[in-house]
Amino acid sequence: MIGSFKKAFALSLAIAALTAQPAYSAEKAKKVPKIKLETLKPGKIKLDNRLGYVLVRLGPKAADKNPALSVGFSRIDGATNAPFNFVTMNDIPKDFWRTSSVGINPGRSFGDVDGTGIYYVGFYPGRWVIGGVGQTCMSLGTYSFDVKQGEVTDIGTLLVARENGEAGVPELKDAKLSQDLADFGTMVNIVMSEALYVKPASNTPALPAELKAMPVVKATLTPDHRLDNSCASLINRAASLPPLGHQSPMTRDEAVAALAKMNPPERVEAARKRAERAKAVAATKK
Amino acid sequence: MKRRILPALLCAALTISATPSVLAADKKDDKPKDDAIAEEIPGDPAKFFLFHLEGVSADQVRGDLVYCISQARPIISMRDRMGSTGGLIGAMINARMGEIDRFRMRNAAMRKCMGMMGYDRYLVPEDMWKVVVNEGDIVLDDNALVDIDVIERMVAFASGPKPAGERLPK
Repeated sequence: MIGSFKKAFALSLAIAALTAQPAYSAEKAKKVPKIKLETLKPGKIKLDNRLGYVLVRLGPKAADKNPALSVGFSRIDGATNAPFNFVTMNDIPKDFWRTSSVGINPGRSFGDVDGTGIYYVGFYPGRWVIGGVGQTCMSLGTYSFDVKQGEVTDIGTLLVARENGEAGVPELKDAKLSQDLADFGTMVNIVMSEALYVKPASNTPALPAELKAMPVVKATLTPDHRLDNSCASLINRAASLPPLGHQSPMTRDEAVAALAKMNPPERVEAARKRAERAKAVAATKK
Repeated sequence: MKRRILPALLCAALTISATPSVLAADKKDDKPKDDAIAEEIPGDPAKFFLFHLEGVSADQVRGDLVYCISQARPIISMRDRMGSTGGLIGAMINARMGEIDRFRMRNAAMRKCMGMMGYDRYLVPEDMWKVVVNEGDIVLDDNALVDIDVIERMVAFASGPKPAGERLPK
């Protein structure tokens, strides 16, 4: 009896495995490739029709004291013009993290123009900001722009350099920190911020054959987009923007309200408990 | 994930430079000669400074300070982003060094932000700075919180009379 049950169970497993195989294969065949927001490589262009492409000239080229710097972009909520604000983990769309940031690392470009390299990069359609350069968050003022599916968006020229006064391009000649910050550290200068200068597109270079079918649109760069320092890095403001003005004046009460949002409640509570303990210890000593 | 290893434990082991402070309390009335300033203010100009702007209102300074502090507060250092090696001792050393890095980076960020809004940076005697800032730094206190009382004292300094101390590069 037990033997025949085992046989029947084994047979049913085998049948299940056999019948499940075609369904699995069909699912595999239907599998959608994951979105990858990557810089296109000359000679190896693979386009994704779900994306838009950004044309950018990035420079200046690496020099002695100025290594080539990467530029980071973040997708923001077009409706609020602010970073996406998901209340729960379930609110985060599938593959959101694959579609919400792009980094461009200088490397093999599609040619040079005025000392900058030409790059084409896959962007998920939506509103984007130039979020950071190297280790610096452009939170004090940057630019936003829109990318549409199936279009090449020309965002112009991004000039980026360390703020050591040796950028080698006139647009960033004033990007120099005080000498004590510029000379800080022995091996790594942790207080050296990076500068960004944005020049809107003028002439569009000849597109690679694979992109020629797409319309090229000059991006409308919306200036002075402010961000929180969500990259938790040094901060800066694009050098191509007007000077940073004063913020809105604040009364003491308004400042207290602002700090209540800034200070993490658990840290406030921990500080309160520490103060209580210290008071108790002081009382026992008396 | 951010690494914040044992910073509270290590606070006790801090060896903050205890330079004797021979400082004129009322420099505003009796400004010493330049060479005397150098002798009397042995403090680190990268640490013992405060911002000032001629003719600015207290509310304006408060708004500007809160904005810049909100920008500088989240900064973490490269050490925080990378793992530490060397076991517990290595972790403790790394945590302490990370703390110093964060402090330096926050200061640099405040200099950038306030400097962009036109504020000058003045060297402040160490003991006076400690009264204003209360042992933390110009962004966070020892509990890693932004303290409204510290902001108020910085507001009074920034909107007050021109400081007697040396004006430092932004």
